[in-house]
Amino acid sequence: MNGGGEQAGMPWDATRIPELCVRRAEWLRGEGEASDVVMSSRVRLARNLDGVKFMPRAERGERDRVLGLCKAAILDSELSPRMLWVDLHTTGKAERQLLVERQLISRPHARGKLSTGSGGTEEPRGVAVGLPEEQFAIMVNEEDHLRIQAMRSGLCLGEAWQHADAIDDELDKRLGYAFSERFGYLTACPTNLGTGARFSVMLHLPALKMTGEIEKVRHAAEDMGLVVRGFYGEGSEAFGDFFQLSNQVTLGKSEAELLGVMQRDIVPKVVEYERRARDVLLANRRRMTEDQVYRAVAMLQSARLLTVEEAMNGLSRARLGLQVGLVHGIDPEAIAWLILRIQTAHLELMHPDAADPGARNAARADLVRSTITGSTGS
Amino acid sequence: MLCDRCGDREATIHDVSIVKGEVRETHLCERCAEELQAGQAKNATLGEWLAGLGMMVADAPKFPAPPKPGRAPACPTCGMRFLDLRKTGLVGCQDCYETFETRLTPLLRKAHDGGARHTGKHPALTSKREVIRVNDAAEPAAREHDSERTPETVEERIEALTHQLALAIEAENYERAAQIRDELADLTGDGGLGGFGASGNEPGGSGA
Repeated sequence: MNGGGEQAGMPWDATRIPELCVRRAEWLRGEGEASDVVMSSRVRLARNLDGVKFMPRAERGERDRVLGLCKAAILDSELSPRMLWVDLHTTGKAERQLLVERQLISRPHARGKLSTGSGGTEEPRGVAVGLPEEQFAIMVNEEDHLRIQAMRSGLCLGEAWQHADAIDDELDKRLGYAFSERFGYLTACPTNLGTGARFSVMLHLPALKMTGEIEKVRHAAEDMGLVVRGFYGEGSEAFGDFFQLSNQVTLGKSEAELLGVMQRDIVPKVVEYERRARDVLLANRRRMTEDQVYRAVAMLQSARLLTVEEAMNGLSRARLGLQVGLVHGIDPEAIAWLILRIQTAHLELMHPDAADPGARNAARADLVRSTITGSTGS
Repeated sequence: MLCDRCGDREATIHDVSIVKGEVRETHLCERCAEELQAGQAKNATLGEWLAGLGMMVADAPKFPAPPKPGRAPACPTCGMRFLDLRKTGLVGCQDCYETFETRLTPLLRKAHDGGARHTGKHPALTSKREVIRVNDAAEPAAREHDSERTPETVEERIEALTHQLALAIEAENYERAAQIRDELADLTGDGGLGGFGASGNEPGGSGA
């Protein structure tokens, strides 16, 4: 169903996860519409099998059966030239964490915990990932039996929706979903009821953060029925000025309406605010802006120890410098790529000697220093 | 134990509630409870009386109490009680939405900005059923709903249903297996096309 250069064949299993470390993720390619502000677009559909108890009430045996049925349906569907299938309950922590860092699974899914706090790492659950591009992932036995997600670089919600929609149709044919005329797709959490669809974008908003206007945007977004989250979704910090914005309402509006409002109204407006804030910074607070950008670049080029937070904040400001023309000679894609590679599990799986935090901070600084080699501008 | 209100008769109605982390007990005799209920109906004494007991109206137990979350019948399919649902924020199965419909509706409206009815995509099963019906009954208007889908032939539908039947049996979902079997019977000529379009319902909305 999906194009790609890789030959079809047996799905990869968890033992191949470390190989993802050297692959770039589609959603961080740093290309596409409005990619100076919009890092990536994502559409997520929540689905449950018809006639099977939902996760909060399903017995262990039922969850095993759901996992088996969904795995078979996904792998039989030829959704991608190659698939990665991971049984998360038998997969190590670093490998699971790597999937979180690549935004292929949620943090609760990595831990096997429902939002109620029940469950644990031994809960039968899995994820399928479309290779080689990692443009989609399907979580099985998360809060819902199925969570289908499609990702694209830049502001590209329409294409992400079409992809998720096609996967959805394919799996529905094979599995049959719980659906009611009145409530739509029936989900474990009533806040996902109806379309079960979340349209979200990952935004890079350093200028709005620096001018302090980010709170205004956050309030305005919340007034419009949107949710603002940090880099890794629910409950996470907005490291490095990266924010996720998504719709909260899923019932009473069609997918086309939800998509249209995000793609054509809300996101372009936030992009416009951020661009204007960047102009204002350069016009009115140039010295301060230059200072922040050049300090960040200097840190990335010179530091011998870097925590994730330091590296993320530094990369964010360096990216801002690139976008507004203060910094030259650094490949924007290299920055996007570093955002992934500096994460803990990526470092741990790439550098077996970086098992403790101190060694990881050193490995992180070495990696960043050797990658950010450009000049710092005028 | 004597009634909190009259201090005379034996209390037979007991209410324990937790307000802002504080346990509050109210014990009433049947007569006082009835009087309070009548007063409440006339929008009278309850508030005053509770104020006298040091309670706020908002904290007031209602007599007789409306079905409390924990006392509502559990979902017959999964055993979920509304109290659990409120605590966890999650339902236990698809039938919970029907079981707790009246309690959930206001919450859904609040969560979905007034939205209470699905207007989006329909599962392939529903829409494909529609396509077959349209093909056979020649109702071009209804086809718009499915303009972006590839119409499925009856043979393809039979194949898909056969596959689903096997899955349903494997999942020990015999109810669904029976539904699919009925649908297959309709398609293969045992029951004609009665299963499709007998209701003449419009699809609930256009897909995106």
